Amino acid sequence: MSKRIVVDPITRIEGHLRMEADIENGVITDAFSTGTMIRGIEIIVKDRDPRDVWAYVGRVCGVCTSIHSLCSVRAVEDAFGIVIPPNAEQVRNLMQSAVTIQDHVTHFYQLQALDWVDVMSALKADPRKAAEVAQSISEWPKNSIGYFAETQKKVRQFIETSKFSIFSNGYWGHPAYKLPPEVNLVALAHYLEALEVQKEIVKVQTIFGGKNPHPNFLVGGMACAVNINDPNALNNERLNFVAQIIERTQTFVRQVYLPDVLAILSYYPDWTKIGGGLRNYIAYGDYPMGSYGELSTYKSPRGIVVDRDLSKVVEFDPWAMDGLQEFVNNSWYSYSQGKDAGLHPSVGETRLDYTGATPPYEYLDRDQPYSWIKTPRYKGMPMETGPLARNIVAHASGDETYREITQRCLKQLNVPYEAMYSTAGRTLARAIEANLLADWQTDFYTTLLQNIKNGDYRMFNGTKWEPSTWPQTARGVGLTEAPRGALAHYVNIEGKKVSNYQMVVPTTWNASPRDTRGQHSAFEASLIGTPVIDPQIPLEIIRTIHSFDPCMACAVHLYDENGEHIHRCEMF
Amino acid sequence: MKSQTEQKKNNKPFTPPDKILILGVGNLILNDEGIGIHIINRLSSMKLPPNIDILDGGTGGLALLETLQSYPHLILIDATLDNNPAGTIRRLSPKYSKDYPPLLSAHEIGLKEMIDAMLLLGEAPQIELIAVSVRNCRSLGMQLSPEVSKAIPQIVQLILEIIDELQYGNRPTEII
Repeated sequence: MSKRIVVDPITRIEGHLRMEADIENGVITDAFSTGTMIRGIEIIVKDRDPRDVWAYVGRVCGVCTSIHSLCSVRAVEDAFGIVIPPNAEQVRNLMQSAVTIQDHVTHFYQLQALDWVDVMSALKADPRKAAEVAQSISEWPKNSIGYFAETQKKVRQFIETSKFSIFSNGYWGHPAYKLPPEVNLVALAHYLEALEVQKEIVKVQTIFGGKNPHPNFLVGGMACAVNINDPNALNNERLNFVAQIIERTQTFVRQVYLPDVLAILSYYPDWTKIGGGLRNYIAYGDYPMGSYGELSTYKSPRGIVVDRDLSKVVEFDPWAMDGLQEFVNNSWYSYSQGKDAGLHPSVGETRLDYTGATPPYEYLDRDQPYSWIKTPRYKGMPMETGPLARNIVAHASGDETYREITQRCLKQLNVPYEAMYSTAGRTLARAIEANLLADWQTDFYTTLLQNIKNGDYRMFNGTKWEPSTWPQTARGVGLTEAPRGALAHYVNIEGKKVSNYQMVVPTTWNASPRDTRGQHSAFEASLIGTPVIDPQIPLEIIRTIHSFDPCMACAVHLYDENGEHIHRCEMF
Repeated sequence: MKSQTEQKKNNKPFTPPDKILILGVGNLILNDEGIGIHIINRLSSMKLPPNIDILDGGTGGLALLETLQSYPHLILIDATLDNNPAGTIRRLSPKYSKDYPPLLSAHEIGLKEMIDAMLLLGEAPQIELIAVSVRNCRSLGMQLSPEVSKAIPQIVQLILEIIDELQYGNRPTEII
């Protein structure tokens, strides 16, 4: 008997998601991922000054605002052949890594952890035992009996007065929760800690970008002037402050985040075999120590791994017209060349063509287009993107930095590298990446400081600032590794204005509908085979979708085989 | 000649007024949904007392946590899709997330979660919420609907009255 499960949108950020899945004998047999909202920023930025686009695209997402802005200035700089000064490159690295670490930390503790950690059980734990457990896995000085007792008191009080509020979306007592009470308590205490720490991490963004959550970017460099002695510029005091933040970030991700993830995953060995999905992984690479585009200086390497074959890395060429293509056969867009064509983003089209039912509807018509998300492919292949893809591509590239920390973690869990191809692996890859990024922040910072000490204060290359210096037509691509994966912006400029703008965002790769050959994208593929103990409370689906950091709020709706609504639970 | 009460006031040692943050949230590219940001843009061209700060909060989220915790008072402007006609302005003083109307700022970790997080950490400003009923926020664009656009002067007026009330204890006029 088959039941249908629907995940529906409740959020306002662009790119709302709805999942519909069939469940048979307690296992998901098929899944359909629907983006229910238009991402039409491409239409909004058309005809605008290319130097202003970063400010608009920063509004696409409420979380990764600065990453879209970064990608946009890179695209425009690429179009005009602008090389930015080394200081600006390192400032961008520092800001991007800060946002990514903050995103990973809050994603894990505030969003994902409660899929694995039972808050109610934590309240019953013995603080003494929790302290013992915590001290056995980490040297973090705060892990004392008093600290855990205080956490219990705080949370208990909050739940009583607020009637759960932030904790009301959990499935407390669900049999899929496997942690002993004391481990639950350790994680809960660090949930509160993460809220405090993320405030610090993100300050890097404000120091260099002037403001948050929508910091300033600049085509040609960065808008922060270096002057060691000027109180209003990037001076000694502010740079010292950045060094302190980096140190605190490193302490937290090394001594709290990664040990917690490892401790939690050690109680969920099944999840190293569930949720793997696709077998192809793509990363554009990022964090240049030299100039943007000098791939050999990238901390996070570029490439593609096909069919989990770690013996070779396939080249990603952003300008191969038969390489990166977007399809609309299952999406609500039309192409001038017809519904089955695949278009490279540099000649991409954004022509809305809604043919679906009028919302609210119960089910998709599965023979018809079913999403506002286009379907990206690389030479026809579906790809997963994100921290796991970056880890796999780095692994296949022979990157020792990635390999060393990953092997150390896997050894602790006593599993082979194949365990990474899973819901647990995706979660671990994110924690590993936060550690690597925090380490690299020292390199970005040191390089920046050394440059300044050498007397290089340049932060902006203004040679192509004036429109009179631009060619009549130009095209460029910006590539970044956003927290959620590979992000590309393609810009065409004609007569000093944007004539076409196309964004291929990470969640487009992961959440897109089937392509012309019926191949699933990552979300759909990863859910197939996932067991669901209790269809009334589909915690397992949420675990796998959350492992992608899906950048949208959803509500899970459950329907029985007759289409009767049997359950709805919110997931955020 | 000054009245007695005024003289009394003048004799008191000077204490700077509490800082107040006016925070607009919303998504600027979803038409009416961006009303909070439009208000911030409007306020940025006005001369406000030095203890008043304004902030374009985008779609909310934990990145704002520290900033918000550093103010004793917060005036929050957000869009709501309730059953009221578009342009309806409501002033509310909610505490926990469950007390809020269906605001649209529901990102993965949205405004409500952030407010809960502040309470959980034991450090939260007193929040005055101005909820503006909207209609056109499912389509893409940067245009406000005429009803919501017309409400802007009234919203700004209400903000100024709330500031006045927070600083001097004056009751604002009722909004219908």
